[in-house]
Amino acid sequence: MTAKPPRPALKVDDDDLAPPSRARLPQAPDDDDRSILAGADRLSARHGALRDGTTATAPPVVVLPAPLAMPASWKLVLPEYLDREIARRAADRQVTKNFLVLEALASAGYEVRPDDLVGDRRRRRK
Amino acid sequence: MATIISIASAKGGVSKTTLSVGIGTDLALEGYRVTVMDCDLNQHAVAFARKASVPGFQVFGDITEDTLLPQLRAARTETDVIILDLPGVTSRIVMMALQKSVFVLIPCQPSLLDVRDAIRTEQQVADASELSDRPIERAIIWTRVPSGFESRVSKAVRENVEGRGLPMMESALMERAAFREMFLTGSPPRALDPPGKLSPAAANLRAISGELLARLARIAQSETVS
Repeated sequence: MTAKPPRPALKVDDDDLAPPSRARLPQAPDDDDRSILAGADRLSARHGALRDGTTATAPPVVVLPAPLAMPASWKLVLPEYLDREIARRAADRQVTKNFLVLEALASAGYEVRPDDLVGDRRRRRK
Repeated sequence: MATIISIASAKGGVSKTTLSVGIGTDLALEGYRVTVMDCDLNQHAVAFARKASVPGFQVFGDITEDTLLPQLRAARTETDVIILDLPGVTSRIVMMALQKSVFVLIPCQPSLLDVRDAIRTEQQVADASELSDRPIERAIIWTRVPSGFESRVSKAVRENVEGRGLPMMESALMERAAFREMFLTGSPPRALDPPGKLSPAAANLRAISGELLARLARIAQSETVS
């Protein structure tokens, strides 16, 4: 029968009670602000970075068409020869008679908005 | 004089703030003086700090391009670790932060969209490193990893990325309710655990912080050698 090996002494070392060792941490670079800002500008340009409070590209400005004026109508009485003349010119220019009248009014200094000066019968879609 | 760690990703919702707060409180509970600088518009870390009471842990809020550098200067003498919780977008403040960092942690979920942005962020760190003419260590860390079943797509993305030689953390941030709870209660998982016993969430943060400290120690060692 072999003798049991001696058991190690039960002893509390000082190391056992020491606080856990803290990792030695690397220090952050001490670059001056100007080089950091210049570097940030170069990197921002390279990577398309945003600035505080900005978006990557300004959203396109959406120009909404002006609302069409409400149409009004009235009965126009005019000499037959004048009606024929207007009809002929309208056919030549492939526009409506209404257009020619509005065009003449605009030439005379009345306000006719460009959107309302439609050359053919198609009305602009909203 | 402090060390500076950035938590950066060009994508939002990848657990940057969870990592900032989780690592920050864990290191504070280890005895380090930690300052988290909340550079994100959402200010979630600040909201956490309003509820939290962890000795050695503090959060500075409303950090902008104009205040980042002065705040870093002010904090570096009275803290051991500064963690920059950066906005989830490529911005000038991120470029400033990267240049000031010793280590950049890039959180990424195992999905193709996240990986694209993580690789983009890693490239930004590489550029900042080249520009600063000094190494800026960085590593991608998988986040919100399910603790049980891993889907086929997650596994495929993870294995593919890990095979490409990108710098990767060995530890990952798991998907755990305790991390969401932390923001409700202001208590990090470890603060709620009984003495000598770590919950899975606390053990998870401990593993990440431990790996981070080991990497920082290696950087400090290499600085000494060079």
